[in-house]
Amino acid sequence: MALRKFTLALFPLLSLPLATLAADAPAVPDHAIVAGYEKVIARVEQSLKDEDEEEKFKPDEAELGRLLIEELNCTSCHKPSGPQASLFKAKQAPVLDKLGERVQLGALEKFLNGPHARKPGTTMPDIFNGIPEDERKANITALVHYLSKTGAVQEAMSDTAAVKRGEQLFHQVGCVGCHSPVKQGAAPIANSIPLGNLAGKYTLPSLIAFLKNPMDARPAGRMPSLNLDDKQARDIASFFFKDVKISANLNYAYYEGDWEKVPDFGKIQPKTKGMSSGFDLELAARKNNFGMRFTGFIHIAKEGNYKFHLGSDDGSRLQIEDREVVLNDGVHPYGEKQGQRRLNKGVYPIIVDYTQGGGEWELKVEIEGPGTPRQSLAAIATPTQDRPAAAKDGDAFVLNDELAAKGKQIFVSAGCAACHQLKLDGQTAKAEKNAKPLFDLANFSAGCLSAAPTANTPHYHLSAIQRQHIQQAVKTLKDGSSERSAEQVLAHSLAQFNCYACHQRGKVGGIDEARNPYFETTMKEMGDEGRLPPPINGVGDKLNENYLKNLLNNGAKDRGYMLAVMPKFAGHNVGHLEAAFRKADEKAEAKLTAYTESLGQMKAAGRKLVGDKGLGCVKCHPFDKNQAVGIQAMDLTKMASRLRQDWFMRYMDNPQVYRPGTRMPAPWPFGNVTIKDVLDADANKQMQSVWLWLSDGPSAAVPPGIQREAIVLTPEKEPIIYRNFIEGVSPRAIAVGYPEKVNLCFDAENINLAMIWQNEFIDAGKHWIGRGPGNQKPLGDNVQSLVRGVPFARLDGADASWPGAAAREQGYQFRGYRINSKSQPVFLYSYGDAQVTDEIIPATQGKHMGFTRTLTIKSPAAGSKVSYRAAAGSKIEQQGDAYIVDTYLKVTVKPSSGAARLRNVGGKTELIVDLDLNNGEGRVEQSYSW
Amino acid sequence: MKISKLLSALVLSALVGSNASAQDKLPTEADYYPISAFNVPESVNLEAGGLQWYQGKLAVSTRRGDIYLVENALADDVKTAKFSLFARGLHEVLGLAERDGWLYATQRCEVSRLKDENGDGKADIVEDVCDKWSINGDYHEYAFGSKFDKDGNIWVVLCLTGSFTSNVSYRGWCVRVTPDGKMIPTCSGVRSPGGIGFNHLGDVFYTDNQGPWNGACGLKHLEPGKFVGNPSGFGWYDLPEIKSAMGKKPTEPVSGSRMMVEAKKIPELNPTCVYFPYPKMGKSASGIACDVLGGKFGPFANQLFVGDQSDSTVMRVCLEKVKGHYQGACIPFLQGIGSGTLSLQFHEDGSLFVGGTNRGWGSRGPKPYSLDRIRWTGKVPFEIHEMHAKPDGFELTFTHPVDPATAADAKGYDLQTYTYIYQSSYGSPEVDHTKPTIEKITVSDDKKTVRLTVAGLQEGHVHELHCNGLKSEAGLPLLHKSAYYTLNYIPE
Repeated sequence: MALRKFTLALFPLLSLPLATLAADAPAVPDHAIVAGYEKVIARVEQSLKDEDEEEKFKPDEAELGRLLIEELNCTSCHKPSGPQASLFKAKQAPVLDKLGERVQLGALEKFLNGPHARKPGTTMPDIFNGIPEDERKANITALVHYLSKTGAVQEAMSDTAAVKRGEQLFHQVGCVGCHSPVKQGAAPIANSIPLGNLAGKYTLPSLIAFLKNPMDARPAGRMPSLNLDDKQARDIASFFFKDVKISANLNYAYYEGDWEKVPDFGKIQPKTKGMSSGFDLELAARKNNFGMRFTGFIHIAKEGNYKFHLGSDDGSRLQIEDREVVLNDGVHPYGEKQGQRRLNKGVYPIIVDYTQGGGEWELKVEIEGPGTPRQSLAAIATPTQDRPAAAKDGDAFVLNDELAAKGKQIFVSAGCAACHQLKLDGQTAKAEKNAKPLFDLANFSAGCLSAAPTANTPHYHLSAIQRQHIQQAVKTLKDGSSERSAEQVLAHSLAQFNCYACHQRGKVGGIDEARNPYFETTMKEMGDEGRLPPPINGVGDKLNENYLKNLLNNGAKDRGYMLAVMPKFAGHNVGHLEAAFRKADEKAEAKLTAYTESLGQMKAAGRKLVGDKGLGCVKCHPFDKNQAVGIQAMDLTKMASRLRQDWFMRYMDNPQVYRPGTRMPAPWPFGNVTIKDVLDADANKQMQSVWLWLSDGPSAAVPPGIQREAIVLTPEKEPIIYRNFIEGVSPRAIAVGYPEKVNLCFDAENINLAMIWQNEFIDAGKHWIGRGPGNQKPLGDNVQSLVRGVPFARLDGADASWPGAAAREQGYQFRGYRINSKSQPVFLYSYGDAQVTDEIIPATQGKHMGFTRTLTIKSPAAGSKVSYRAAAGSKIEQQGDAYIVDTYLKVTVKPSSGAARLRNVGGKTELIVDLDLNNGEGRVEQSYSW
Repeated sequence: MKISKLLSALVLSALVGSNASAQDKLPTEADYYPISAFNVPESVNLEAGGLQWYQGKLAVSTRRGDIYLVENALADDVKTAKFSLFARGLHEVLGLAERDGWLYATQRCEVSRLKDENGDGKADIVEDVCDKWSINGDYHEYAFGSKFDKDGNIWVVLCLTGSFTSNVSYRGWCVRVTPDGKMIPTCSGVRSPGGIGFNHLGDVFYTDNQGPWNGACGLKHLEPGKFVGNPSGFGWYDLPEIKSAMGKKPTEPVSGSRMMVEAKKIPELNPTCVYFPYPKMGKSASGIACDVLGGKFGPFANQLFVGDQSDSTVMRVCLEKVKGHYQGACIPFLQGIGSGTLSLQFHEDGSLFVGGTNRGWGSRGPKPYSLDRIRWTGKVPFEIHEMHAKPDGFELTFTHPVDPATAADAKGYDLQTYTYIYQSSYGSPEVDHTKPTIEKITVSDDKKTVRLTVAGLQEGHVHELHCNGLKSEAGLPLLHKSAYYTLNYIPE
C-alpha cells in the first residue's frame, strides 16, 4: 500500500493566523518536545507560508508518527508485531543504575510528582496521572526510597572563572543548536529541548560527570557527547551552578610536597587553610605533588554498624575519633577500600587525609549504614561540633527499607521498568505491565492518545498534531512495507537525533535564525562557512567510508575555525547512517585521465600546484602546523583522509555546485588551466596530481610558499628605505639600512631617531609574504633604543622637565625627506614655525662604524632659544669629549652655540644642548658609536 | 530570375552555414578586447597598487612600497617596455596621481608627493602632504587614494583596523586631502575598500568588500557628510573636527535588517549603488576607472570599469540616478587578468592598464603580480550595453540590433531578485528571493532597445537577469548574457 501523503487537513493548527505559528511557538513548551520532529513541522509550516516555494515540503505523516512512537517509547509497552515490528526501535530511556549518584532525591520527588510542570516539554510521561493525591504521594515516596539505593550525590561549589568560561562555552560549542540560550537577557527559543532546572536536579560533580559522558546514563545518544575534556565539562556545569552556594561543611588544610605514603599532616606546616564544601580537591593551588587534610564532625542519628568507602587517586586515610578506619595508601590509580565502625547516636570528629603525586586525582569518602543509603560523608558533616541551627534531625533523608521494597514493586508494576533499565544488587527490574499490542490499538480516544488521558494512563502531554501522527502511523504501518529507502532512513534518523538542528539536508534543517548568533568562528573572514555547520547534501558522496564511520561514532573537530563541534552520537545509535548516506549519495562520475608520469612526478606536480606559485591553495589552507598566509581554512593534510577522490575531482571542477556560496575559488575556472607549465596543462591530470599529493596526509612534502621565507634586505651600493611596522616604534616608522652595515629607524609620528643597530638590516618577509601582519624586529646586532620624545623643546628653565606630550600636540609635523647625493634620506620636520633638517649618515667613529647626525633648525624668530636633548639614560658619564650613555652608547655633541650640559631630572640623566638661534639658525652635530 | 532566386537561396544557405559555424566557434572576449601581458623583469616585484601617467611613462606603485616608471608602455609590443625604479621604501602605495610635475602617492601612513629634481630618474624629494589619520599597526589598515577631484582634492578611503573595528581615529572613514594638505572628514561607514575613482561627471565612488555590514561586495557613492554603511567607525563623530565637518552621529543601523529598510530610517545612509553578487560577479571588488575616451575603448563610453581581485576580472558598471541616488547594474566584461585585479588606469590612446596582485588573497589569475594592457580591436561585441530601471520594469540597450523574435520571447529571459542581510556579522547569503514575471517585451524600431515590463519588481533587491535566448540580428548570442541591477529605488 502506498504511503499516504501529508495533507493540509491533517494540520488543523496550520489554519491559525501566522502569528501563532512556528517562529512564535511558545518558548515554554505546552507539549512533549521531540526536537527533530518539531523542526520538520516548523519547516512544513514555513513551506505553507512561503508563496514562492512551488514544490511544497510534504513529509510522510505516518513516518512522523513512527518517529514519535520511537521517541516516546510507546513500543516498550505496546509491542509491535508482524513484519513491521523491525521498523520500531524504541529509544532507550535513561539508565537508572546509578541514578542516585546523578540526581538529588528532592528533585526526583518533584519530577515524579509532575514531570511536565517541573520540566515543560519533557518526554517523560506522568505515570501517576489522575490517581488520588495521597496515593500518588505515597507511591512517589516509595519510589524515591527505592531509587535512593542507587547511590548518593557528591557536592562541590563552582568558581567564578569556571562559570565565566562555561557561559561562553555553552553558547559557542553547539549546545544552543538544541537547547535555548541561558545568557542573561537571551529569550528562550521555541522548540528547544528543555534543560529543566539543572542546578536543582544535579549537583556540580554529577553534572560534570554527565556532560563528560552523557551516554553512560542516556545511551540513546539524543544528548550526544561533545567530547568535552575535564575542564570544559566542569566549566559548562559550573555555569549552571553559578547561583548555588553550598555552605562549607568541612575545614581543610593544603600542603605541598611529594609523598609516597600519606604522612601525618599534623606535623607539617600547611600552605593554606580554610573552609571547604565537601572533599573538594579543586582548592589545591596546583595539580601535582600536594596533600590535603579535611577535618570536621559527623552527626550519627541511629546506632549501628557503619561501612565507610574510601576511594582515591593517589593515597588517602579516614580517621574517626583519631582512630584510623580506612587506609587507601600509596601512589595508585583510583581504587576504593572499605572499613567498618560501630557508632552510637552522637557527634564524631573525622579527619580525611589525601595525597596527590602526578596525573589523575580524585577523592571520594562515603558512609553506608542503618537508615543511611550510601552517600558522601560530607552530607552529614559540619565544620564544628554544633549542628547548624537551621538543620533539624527530621531534615535528613532516612532510608526506610520497607518503603524501598514498596517502591520496587511500584517500579515494575507502574511501568517504569518498561522503559528504564535499573540494575541493583545484580538484579534487573523487569516490567510487569502489559499493554495492548501496538497494531491492535483502535480506540484512539482512550488511553495515552486521548486528549485527556484518564487515571492510571501515562500522560505524555501530546499536542493534537502529535496524537494525529501517532494514530496515522499505527493505522498505516500495520499493513505497510517494512522496507525503507536510504533517503527515508536518513530523513527519519536525522530528525530522530536532531541532526537537522545544525545540518540542512534537502528541504529540512540548518541553524534556526534565532540560534544563528550562537554559532561563531575564529576566522570571521570565512563568513557563514566558517561558523555554521555545513549542509549535508551529498555527504555520502563527499566523505569516505572510514571517515564517515568515525565521524558518526566519535564526532569530529576538523574545522579548527568553527567553534561548534560535531558531537559524538556513537555507532550503536547512528552507525547505520554511514551505509544510508553512501547509498543515497555516492556517485562515481569523475573521469580520470590516464597519465604516464611516475607517481613521484605526479605528487611533485601536485605539490607545486598547491604552492604559492601554483594555484595558491596555501594562501587559505594551512598544512599541518604551518599556517596559511591568509585565512586558516581546512588543513590540507586532512583532505585525503576525509574525502572521496571521485567527489574531490568533481568539486575541483566547480566548487559552487557542491557548496553554493563557498569562498573556495574554482582552481580550474570553467575547465581552464591557469598553470600551463605543469602536466601538459591538462586539468584532469593536474587535479589528480593534487589528490595524489594530498593522499600523503601530514607526511606529504611541504608545499612551497607556506613556510615563510626570509626576504633579507641587504643594502649594497645604496641605502634601503623601509617604511613599515617596526617593533618598538610607532606605525609610522621609517627604517634605513646603509651599505656601511649600520641601520636606523626614524619615527615619523613621534619625530625622533628611535633605534640604531649594526650589521643585517631587516627581514621584509614578515610583511611581504601573505598579508603581512605584525611588527618586524631589526635583524642585526646591538639594537640601541635611543631617547624617545621630541628632539627640541623650549624649556621654561634649565631644570624644567622635558615635555612628554605627543609630538603633534607640541607643534611638530613630519615633512618628509630629501634624498641626498649618496641616496641617503635627510629627514625634514617642523617644530612650530621652525624648520628642521635632520641628516643622519654613517661615519667611522674611532674603530667602529657609527652615525654622524647633523640637525639644523631655522626659525623666523631670530635670537630665540631652543634646547636639544642629545641623549638620556639612567646613567651618562663624561669621558673626555664623549659621553657614555648607560655604559654602552658613546655620543659626542658639537653645538653651534653654547656647550652640552648634563642634568638629572625625574631620576634620569639627560644630555642637553641650549641653542641660541643666532640669525634664526642653530646647528648640532652629534655622533653615535656603540 | 530563376537564377537570381537560386543564387539568393545559395547566399542564404551560405549565410545560414556561416551562422552554424559561428555557433561552433563563437567569438570570445579576446576577439574584441585582447589582453597583452607586460614582461616584468625578474628583479621587479610589481604588486601593482596604483597606476598613473607621469611624464610620458606609466608610473606603477607597489604593495612593497616601490614606484616604477614604465617606458614604452604604449608600444605595439608591450614586451619592449622598460621598467625603471623611481622610488622605493614607501609603505604599501595604493593610489597615484599627478599634478604640477609632482607624483602624489597615497601610502598607509600619508599622502606624499615625490619629484626627481636632479634628473637622475629617481625621486629625490618625498614630501609629507597629509598624515592626519591614525594607524595602529594592523595590516588591514589600507589607504586607497583617488586622483584629484575638480577642486584639487585627493579622496582617501581608510580601511578599518582589522576586519571589524575602528581602534584609532579615521579608520573606516573617507577623507579629502586638500591642495594645501588639510584633511576634511568626508564620509563614515567604510569597511574594507578595494579601489576608488570618479565617474565622467566627477562624482566619487569606491568599492567595499563583503564583510560586516556588507552582504556582498559593492560600489558605493561617496558624498560629503554621508554614511556608507558600516558603523564601526561611529565613535569618531565625537572628534571636534569631525563634528564640525559632519554634524551629529547618524542613527546606528539595526543588525539583521535590510539596507533599504535602514536607509529609510537613516537619512545619512547612502545605500550601496551596485552590488557585485557573491560569488557570481567575484569575491573581492577592487579598482575603478571610468571610460572617458569617447569611443576609443569601444561602445562603453562613460561607464565604470571595476576590477575583481579574486576572479581576476574586469566588470562594467552602468549607473543612473533614481530619486537622487546613484544605482545601476554590473555586467561581466573581461576575464583573464594575469594576477588578482587591483588597479585600473586608462590612457587617452584607448588603452586600459590593469595591475594585479594575489599576495594574501588568492586569485584566479595565477601570477603573483601582473601588469596587463587591454585594447579594443575595433570590433563591437554583442553585449548588453546598459540596463535601466523603469517604473514598471527595465530597459535594456544593446551594442548591436537584436533579433526581434528571440528578443521578444519571454522564455529567453531568466529574472530573479534577492537581497542581503544588513548585519554586523560577516557577509550574508542571498535572502528574500523572488521571481518576478516578465509580462511584456517591446523591441524598439532600431532594434537596439528592449523594454521589459515586469510584474513584481522588488525595491531594495538585486535583479539578476540572464538573457539566455536572446540573439543579435546576425544570429550571435550575447558575449555576456547576465546583468545584475541593484534596484534600491524604483523610478516614478
